[in-house]
Formats: sequence, C-alpha cells, structure tokens
Amino acid sequence: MPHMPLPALSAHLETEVDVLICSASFEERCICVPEQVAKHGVGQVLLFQNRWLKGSALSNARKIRGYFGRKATSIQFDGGDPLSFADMAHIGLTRISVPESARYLVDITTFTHENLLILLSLLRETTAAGDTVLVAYSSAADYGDWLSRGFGDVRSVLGYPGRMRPSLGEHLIVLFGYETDRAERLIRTYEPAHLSVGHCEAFAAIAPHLHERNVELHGRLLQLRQQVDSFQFGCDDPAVACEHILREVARRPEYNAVVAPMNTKLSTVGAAMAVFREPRIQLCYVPAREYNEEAYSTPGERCYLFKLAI
Amino acid sequence: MPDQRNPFAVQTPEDLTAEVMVSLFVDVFSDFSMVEKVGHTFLHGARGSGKSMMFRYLEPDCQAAKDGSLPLSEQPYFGVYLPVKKTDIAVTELARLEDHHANVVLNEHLLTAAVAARTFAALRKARLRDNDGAFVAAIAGFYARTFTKLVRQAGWSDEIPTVDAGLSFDGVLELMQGLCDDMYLQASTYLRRLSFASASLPYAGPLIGYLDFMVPLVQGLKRLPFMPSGPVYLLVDDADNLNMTQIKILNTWVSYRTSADISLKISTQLRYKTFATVFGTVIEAPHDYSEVHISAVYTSNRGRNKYRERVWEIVRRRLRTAGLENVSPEEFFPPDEAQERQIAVIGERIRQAWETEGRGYRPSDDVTRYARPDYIKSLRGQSKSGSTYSYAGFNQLVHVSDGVIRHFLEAASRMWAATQASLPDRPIRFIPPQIQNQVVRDLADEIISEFNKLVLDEEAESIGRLRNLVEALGGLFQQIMLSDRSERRAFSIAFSDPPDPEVQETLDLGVRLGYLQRSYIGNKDGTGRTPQYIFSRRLAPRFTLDPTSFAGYQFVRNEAIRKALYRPASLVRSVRGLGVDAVLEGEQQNLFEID
Repeated sequence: MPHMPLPALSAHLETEVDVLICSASFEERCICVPEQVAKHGVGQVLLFQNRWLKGSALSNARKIRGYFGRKATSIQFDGGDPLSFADMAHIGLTRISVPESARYLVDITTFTHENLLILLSLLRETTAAGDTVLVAYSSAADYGDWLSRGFGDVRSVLGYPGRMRPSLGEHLIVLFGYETDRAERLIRTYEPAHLSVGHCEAFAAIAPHLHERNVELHGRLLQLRQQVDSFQFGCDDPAVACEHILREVARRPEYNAVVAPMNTKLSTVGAAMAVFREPRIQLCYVPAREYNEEAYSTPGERCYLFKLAI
Repeated sequence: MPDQRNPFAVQTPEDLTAEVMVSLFVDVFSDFSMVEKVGHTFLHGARGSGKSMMFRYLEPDCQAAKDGSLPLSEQPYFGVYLPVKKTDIAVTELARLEDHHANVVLNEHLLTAAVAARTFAALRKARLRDNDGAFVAAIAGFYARTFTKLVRQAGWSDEIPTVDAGLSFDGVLELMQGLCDDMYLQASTYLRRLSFASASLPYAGPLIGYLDFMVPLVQGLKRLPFMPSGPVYLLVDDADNLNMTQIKILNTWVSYRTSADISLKISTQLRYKTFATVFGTVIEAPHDYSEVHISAVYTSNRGRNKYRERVWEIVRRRLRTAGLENVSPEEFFPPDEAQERQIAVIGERIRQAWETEGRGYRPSDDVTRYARPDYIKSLRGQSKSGSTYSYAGFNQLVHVSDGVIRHFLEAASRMWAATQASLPDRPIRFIPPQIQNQVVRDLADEIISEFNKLVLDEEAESIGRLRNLVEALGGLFQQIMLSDRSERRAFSIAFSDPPDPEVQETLDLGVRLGYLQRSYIGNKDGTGRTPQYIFSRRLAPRFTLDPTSFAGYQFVRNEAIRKALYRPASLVRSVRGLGVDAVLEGEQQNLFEID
C-alpha cells in the first residue's frame, strides 16, 4: 500500500535518491517530505521557488535548503508565468549531472497543478529510459474554509495542448475538488458543448469529512446546466485516476476532450498520465490570484509514494 | 417525485439538435436585422444575451427545420458556426511565437483550417438528400478539381486520398473535413514541440490563409448545385477568446471586400481587444462592417417592449417542454396578489385625485408613475428598510433581468430548483411569489458580493471606485423614488459636462462588468447626443427600487460623480437630508441638474 506514516518514507525509498525535486510554499506541508528525505540520503536537490517569495514561504525555503546545504539548487521562476516556470525547470533539469539509471523523487505536494503538470511533461522529455521517477505526496489533515480566490482566464497547460480537431465540439471534464467558485468560473466562461463533473470515490477520499464536502459541492455544480454527466474518480492513486479519466473521455469520442484537474495532486498526476497515453486530450487550468496563505491546510501525518511510468 | 426536468437550466446551443433549437428559439432577427443581411457584422452583447442561440439558428440544419425541410439551395445563405473557446485555437504554446515572424502566418493557418473544417462539418450536419446522385458527382468533382489543388498548393506533402467510385456524398465531405482537421493538427503538433524548446524550430507543414485558401474554397463550393446562391456566413462566436494576433487576423479578413462570398458575423462579449489589422490599419463601422449592440436595442423605449415579448415567448416554449402547455408565463410567475391589490388601491386613489392634483397628461400616467413608488414608500413607515416589497410577478422579473435573457433564465432555473426542493412530491405548476422574491434578492446580493472577487481580478482601486459609484447611484435613485418629485423613477444618469478620465474609466468598467449599460440621449443643449448610463435593474432589489421604471434619468455634473467615487455615503446623505429639490436649489445646487 503506497500510503504510510511520514517517518516510514525513508524505509520505503530503499536505495538513495539521486535527485529530489520539491517546491517551497507557504504551506507547511512543503517541508514534510524533504525533512524525511534528508534523513534518508540524496544526491542533489532542485528546490523550485517563486522569485518573489515572502513570509512563511521564504522561511520554508530556508528550512529546506538548511536540510541539504550545498546539495540544494534553487530554481527561481516568475510565479503565474508558465513559460518562465517551464524555461527555468528545463534549464535546471538539463544542467544537473545524474548517474545512469537515476532515481528521481518528486515531492508533488505544494506545486501548483499547472506547474506540476509542466514538470511531469519535462521529466518525460529529459529523463533516460532506465531512470526511475517516484512521486511523493504529503497528506493534509484538513483544509481551510477557502483555498483560493480571484481567478484569471482559463488557459491550456503548456505541454498539453491536446490534438484538437476543430470540426468537433469540446467535452470539458472537471475533476472537482472543493473550490466551487473556481469550477463555476471555468464552466461558465468555457461553455463547453458537453460537460462532465467528477468527484472523489468515497473509499478513496483522503479524509471522510472532506469527501462529504466534495460530494455536496459537486451536487451544486450539477445545477449549472441541464445536461451534465457525473462520474467518480480515484483521488489517491494516479494510476486509478488515469483509468477513470480515460474511461470518461472514451464515453464521448465525438468530442475533443479537455480535462481540468482541480482535485488532489495525485489525481492531477493521473491526468498527466492519461495524456501520455492519449495525447489528444488537452489539459486546462484556471489560475488563482490569491491563496489562503494563513490557513490553507494543516499538515497530516501520512504520505503517499508511487512509482510513475512516464 | 414527478420527473420534471428544469426547463430553464442552461443549454449550450452547439449541442442542441435542429429540432430542439427550432422548438426553443424565438426569432429575434427583426430586432437585429443586420445580422441576417449580407455584409460583415459585429454583434456585441453580454454573456447570455442570446448571441450563440442566434448563430446556431443560422446554421443550415436549423434553417431547413424551421421551414419544414427547406432545401439548402433555396436558403438565402449558408451558415458556418465557429464557437471559439478559451483553449482551443489560442493554446498557451502560441506565446512562444510572439515577436517571431511566423506568428501571424501560423495563427492564420490555425484559424483558416478551423473555419474550413467547420464548413464541411456544417455541410454534413445539413444532411442533404442526394436523390439522383447529382450531389455526390458534384462534390466529387469539386474534391478532385478544386479542393485537392488548394491543399497541394498549401504545401501538403502527404498522400491525398482519391475518391472511390462508391463513396457517398457524406463520405466525400467527411474526407475533406478530415483533411482540414489534419492540416490544423500538423500545426498543432508543431506547437507541441515548441512547449519546451529553447530555440526556434522550423515548421515544415502546410500553410493556408483566408485569401489563398478559404475564399477560393468557398467560391468553388458556391458553384455546386446544392449550395445557396447567397454567401457563406462565417459565424465566429465569442471572438474575445482569440488571442491578440488572431483577433488582428480576423479584423484583416473583415477589411477584405469578400462579403459577397463570405460575410463575417462576429460576436463578442464586450471584451474585444482591438479593431486593428495585422497591417496596422483599423477597421471601422459602417465602412468595413455594421455593428449591433444587443443591450442598446433592448434598453431603448421601443426595445423594452420587444424584449418583454421575446422573454414571454421563450418562457412559453420552455414551459411547453415541461408539459405546461396551457400555463402562461404570467400564471407561472404570479405576483404577490396582496401587494398588487394594495398598489391598485393606491392607483385608484391617484386616479380619482388626478383632476385636481394630477401631473401627467392622463390619469393612467400618474398611476404608472406613482402607485408603485408610493407603495414602496409606505412600507418604509412599517419597516425601516422597506424590504418587505416583493419582486414577484412575470412583469417585474422581466424588468429585473435587464435585457439579458440568460439573467431571466438563470433566476427562473433557481426558482424552479427551490420550488422543487420545497415541494418534492408535487409537480410544479407555478413558482410561489415568496420564492421568486427571495431568488432575485439573493441574486442582487451576489452581484454586490462579486466586488470582493472582482477586486482580485481587476485593478483594486478601479473596483473600489466602481463599487462606490454603484452604492451612490443605488442610494440616489432610492432617495429620488421616495421623494415628492414629479418623476421619481430615475434609473440612469447623463452628464451635462464631460466626465473626466477617472470618472470615464469607472463608467467604462461598470459597462464592461454589467453594472451599467450605455445608451445615448439628446444632450441638454440640444446640440447633439450624450451617453446615458443606465443602472442595472438586477440591482433593484438591493436598493428597493421600482424595476418597472424606465423613463427617468438625471443630468449630473462630473464633479458630483467624482465625489461619489470616493464618498458615496456623503452624496446619499446630502440628498436624504436636504431632499433632491433642496439639493438642487441650495448650496448643493451644482450637484445635480434635473431634466
């Protein structure tokens, strides 16, 4: 089972990690996995951070660098600019020197969904056939009343433009989490020809009380239009999420498929995997202007670890 | 629970069949005659004002269905519907090409390929009956002589399939649709390679443009026996979603004199970035195109009656889909009868007093002007906020929807859902007045609370000023309504002196975000026309205003509105404390001038 107490992460990693990739954030969870990996042993660390970090994000970045000293390289990018993130990530990934059959560990916990997807696409291009890519995700014990607000224009995710046939309409597939405003904004401005809204599978919900909130808010979204397909997806296993997404895409082959991952980072990894198997799928993203930095989440005591086939 | 689907829930036009479209669509083209005429047209309107429904209705399958299977060749034009979504043609990878010479060429290729693919998709959707094989022979000939030649000239290097003898009419169209899709995909694949490229990459695929591909394609199609003699109407819906380069390309297409073959009908949600072309020139109305503003039509005096008729018919059709054929919109959305009786009593009192105290030309004028405002005023004696006034009733709901049909439908959709939840075991025959009233009040509150979100989307200070303006105007119109003035139903302002840049910016922002609508009236001096800014009636419940009023407007001075941008409460206080007339005649005389 890929779900374990955080202190058990090191044992599950077995051999040394050659490259740890992580992100500095205002969320305390950003230090959970690096803290454990530091005890385990790592070759080098790529620490992604917004060029204008402040407050708790800045102190968390310092903490992470403190765990690894000279092994850590900061990759600074302009927050909210996907091209900047992609360019800096590309430089970072292509300039490090790694052994044959390198082991990468990506702490996906606090990357934005968009940056995480860009990173995974880049890893697919820059890693060698014998390399291993693991993803770790640190659970939250709870989430704040609001997570983000003030939304920009929806855009396609760099690296996932899809293979859209202009003669077909769009099937928008929303992997819904808790942010009703954000999802509503996406649906209202996109106005797809066909809409599917998914919510977490009950038994896979990372916490039952979060699942209830997810289902209740999902019901509100179904009121937005007369014809909305509803489906469930796994939110704690990328491979399961991938299968669920592909199944939903296959329900409507007469449309171009556009997927909006808005749930856990694990399901977002699943969305990336779905595109790697079906490049015709496009991924889209609604950027937020403000995050609840004071009370976004409280760190849990467990984490997930998966090996990715990319 | 009875199976009654919500007949007012949003439906996306592009996914509706021609039969459903014909059953739901209310013909509004007499309100916007330029849309159906030959020539390039821009159609501007808020989201939900009916642009997409209009464009979908212009497609050949709907045109055939509305007239009981009218053949395509007898239709006046051939509509090709191209809905533009945020992420289809304008993918993020295109940002890599900005400042590169290939930017315009590749963007035009994407647009042209999309249009061409949709053209053949529209022909397939028209489901033409080829009874004697003449159509398939014609389209096969077109494919061999015209289409493949254009594709080769574009630089297509892969094999182009030949048409087999037994291939059907639809099969040939599907072939061409697929090839146009493939030309689009070749460019799209190139863009994918640009995602993480550190240097520019060469593009080796085909390249097509409007003049070298689309126009000759359409000219060739038009000669075929099943096509209308009129032009192709290229219906570009929500063109605001195109990126800047694509918009300039579209404008360049408008600048070409091709409307006899291709008339461009372009809808926007009032966020169209520019009217410049790729050459740096600017397209202008009426020289290059005609322009229709939906809100201007439906907020004019004559337009308001038309709008009510349209809503009535739309609601009637929607009720029919719910099995409520014999229920009129007025019966389905009944007013608060007790309130209407009291207003009628006040109206009768006014009618009887008209001989001695009347102000209008007729008793009915005074009844219309004063009965409802007097009733609202009387409520304030009973409860300070006057919030017991009910906005129920079809007539009031039409006014509150402010000329945008989706506002009405969304409110109605919520009312239906609330009624269904309150009476789960009974079929819905009408919406209780208290539910109608609560929904429109909730929606008005949501509009105001939107400011908290807008402050993050837009520049914070501008939003702050707009919020102040909305509060000031709402409070002002409320005070005017509660006064003893002859015209109490003010709902708009016009300027007696030009607004300064900051005031104008705030007004423009208000129009763009839907809090205000802009129209034009004669200026005070009688020397021309001046903009009139009409307060959104969706906010009437927030400020307890009479939404049925449309006659009253106030001339204002720039200085007064400028003050309102920073001190809205001060303006309302001075009007409340001194009275509107006292403000006009006293020290505050310069604040407002009444018309």
